[in-house]
Amino acid sequence: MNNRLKVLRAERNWSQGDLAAALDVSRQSVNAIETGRYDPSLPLAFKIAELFERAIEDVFTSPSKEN
Amino acid sequence: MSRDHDPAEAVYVRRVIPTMIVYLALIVALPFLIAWLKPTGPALWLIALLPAVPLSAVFWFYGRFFIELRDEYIRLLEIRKALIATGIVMMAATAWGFLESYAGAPHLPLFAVPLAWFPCQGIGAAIVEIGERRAAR
Repeated sequence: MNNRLKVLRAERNWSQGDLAAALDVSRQSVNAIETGRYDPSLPLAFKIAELFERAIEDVFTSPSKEN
Repeated sequence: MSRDHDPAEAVYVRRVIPTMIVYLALIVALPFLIAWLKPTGPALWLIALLPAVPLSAVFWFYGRFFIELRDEYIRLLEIRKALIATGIVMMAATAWGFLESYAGAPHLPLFAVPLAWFPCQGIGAAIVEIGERRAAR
């Protein structure tokens, strides 16, 4: 699933480690989500969206809307 | 501070080390215990089952480890390692069974299967690690 995590993170000048700390997950998890290798669970996806103060669909692209 | 080492890992190690010490102690002591007590029937069965208790407990702890891992992606990787190890052990056990039946291969005790699972976890870990490194490039 595509997402804007890297862009949102860059806007805040956060490293993957900073984001991982804010989400209380491993840096490995952030990297896997960012690169689209792992789709987070709904609770984690909501946590990410809430951290960036965005709606979930502003962070993650619905697979049905992906090209 | 990000959590690259899940607290569940330390809990798992704390549970497994003493359990494996008990297992090894039982493996060493059991032949002497049987020779000394000379049990028969159900008593012999119960005594013979003793090493299975700590070994089974380790698999229980492994299940707890999956549940207690807080990081869902790390949990996925750990489950992947375990599935790879299980696949390898099942394939090896199947192949060896047919070698025993049709090619005169020496008989291996069944408890070799769960014991072989542990080193196969290392193979699973290596495969997962290689995949992670390639993907992170």
